[in-house]
Amino acid sequence: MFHSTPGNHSWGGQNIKVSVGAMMLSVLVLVFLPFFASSYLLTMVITSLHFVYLAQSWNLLFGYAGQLALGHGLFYGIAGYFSTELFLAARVTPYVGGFIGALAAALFAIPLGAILFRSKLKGLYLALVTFAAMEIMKALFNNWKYVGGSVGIYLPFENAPEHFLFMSRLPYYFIALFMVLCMIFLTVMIQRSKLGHRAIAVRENEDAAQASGIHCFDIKLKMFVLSAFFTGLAGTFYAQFMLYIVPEIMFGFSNVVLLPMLGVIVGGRGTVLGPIIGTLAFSILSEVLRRVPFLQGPQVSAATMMLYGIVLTIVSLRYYGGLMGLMEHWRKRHSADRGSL
Amino acid sequence: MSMISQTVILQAIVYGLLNGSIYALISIGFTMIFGVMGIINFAYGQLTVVAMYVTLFLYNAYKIDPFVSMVFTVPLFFLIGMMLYKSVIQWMLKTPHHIQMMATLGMMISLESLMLFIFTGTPRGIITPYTTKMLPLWGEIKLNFPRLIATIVSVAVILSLFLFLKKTTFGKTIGATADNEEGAMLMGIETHAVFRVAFGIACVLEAIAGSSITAFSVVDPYTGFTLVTKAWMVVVLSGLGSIPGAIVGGLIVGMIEALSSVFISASLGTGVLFLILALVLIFKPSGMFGTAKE
Repeated sequence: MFHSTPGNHSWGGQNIKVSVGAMMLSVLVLVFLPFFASSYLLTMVITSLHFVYLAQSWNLLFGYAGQLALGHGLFYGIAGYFSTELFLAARVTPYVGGFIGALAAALFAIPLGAILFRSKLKGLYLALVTFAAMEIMKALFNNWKYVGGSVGIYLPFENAPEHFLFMSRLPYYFIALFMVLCMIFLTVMIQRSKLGHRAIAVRENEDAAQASGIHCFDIKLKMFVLSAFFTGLAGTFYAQFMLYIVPEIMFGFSNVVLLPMLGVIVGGRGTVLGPIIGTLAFSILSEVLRRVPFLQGPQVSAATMMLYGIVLTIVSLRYYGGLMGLMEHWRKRHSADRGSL
Repeated sequence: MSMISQTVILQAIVYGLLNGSIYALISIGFTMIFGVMGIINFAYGQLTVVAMYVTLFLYNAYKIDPFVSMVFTVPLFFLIGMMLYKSVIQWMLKTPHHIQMMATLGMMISLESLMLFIFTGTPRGIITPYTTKMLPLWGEIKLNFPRLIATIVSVAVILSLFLFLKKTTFGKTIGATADNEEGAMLMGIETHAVFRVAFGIACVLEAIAGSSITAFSVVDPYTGFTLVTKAWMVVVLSGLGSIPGAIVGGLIVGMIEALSSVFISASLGTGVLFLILALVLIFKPSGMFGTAKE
């Protein structure tokens, strides 16, 4: 399914020690950063962290199990709406509601995944069906008056820490950071677990995996449901952070799916660090373009997306391992040069 | 049922068929490229949008009628198509479809953002002397004049494409290359040249569709994504790679869209179309006419 070029075997549990060291350093920087940052910068960092988190949870399914799903807005939206409705109608605190919403998304993912993987959909067809599922759900929510239809729902603008509502950006920042760190930890755990190894086997060669006794359907479904659950948690975070949800955004392709996907593919799929690097690279790029003097407001995002698009085309055709694959390639070549001396 | 008069339903059917013929035109380029070189292209809808903006510009700057502006857009898009083939598409020839999807999705995003960069997100349109002209068809049922012309253009283009593919030597060469690439190569056919021209032709179809749509509809940079999802519905329903299938599929999608906006709502209608897309992909991935398999 995927081509592997010689010298590019960067997929497994490599570089863990280096990653841990780099991670410690970044965590230190990240913990002290908000005390020096402006409110604008903080918002931008929170958004980036949110996308890093989404990229990691999408990476679980695409990076490790090799299943290309384009409909993760489905789980984001279901969980976001579920926790918001629980909060507004039954005063269930979103700390609990978020998990209930994510569980609802995961419960929804079980029959959906069962249908998808039972009918042996993969590659392009899987991508199209998951995308269609998201669009169907968007159409339903747009016409569902109880949840505000296409107008959306507003959350109260107040300071209520017990209800995950803060006037300051700082608590959101630390919650987003905590979510990302948990996700990284989980990804490492899954990568080292039996499930992770089996998922990689399924990704690399499904027939061979099946022949060596791996129940491919089970593995794919498990990764699908895990990915759905973690995407769902992000939906609740978004609702509590933006205080406004609407189907066009919660089930939106460009809001929930596109940026994380770019991050994963450009950074390097199936690695722990790749999605982080890929997503952050995009945030930095957009900040750099914001500094370009002759660009105005909406033109900045247009220019950023234009570059993203070009990068996505080049990376998916020429450097399918992404930045992590390239780094691994250079590292190998470097050590090979030294070996020959 | 009794709430909605017969006239409204018939009017919806007529509109569905008129829109459907444009969907067919857009989808034929898409499905032809899949049939000839096995390439999935998500950027098609966006190419149509570029053609729409070119038409818009020609009308605003030089008062050139949208249907006349095809004289300029057709050669321009033939060149653009060949350039795109040379620069991007030829590197996709032997890659898996989901990678082609991601790569062309990248192209789509870049083109969309380029349009957004130049023209901003505001929907724009043109008003020709005949934009609102209605022709009585039968009783209460009326035809919108520019849509009718667009339909006639689509039918003419589809027919001439058929004749080109079946009757001319170059058309037959394209068919032969689609059937057996290596065999064609052994017969002395330059397959890359054939692919390049075929891709140019597909882009010309998008240009014609774009210029025609501009005559009766507004355009914004996000139209491309809507168009490409419509094209997907058409080709999935009819089967990837089948040109006659795309015509039937286009008309069906146009009809479903028009009727569901009468009986339910436009946004639920889109949901219905996506539901059909998903069900066809799950239960009969080869569609009604197609032989393609992943």
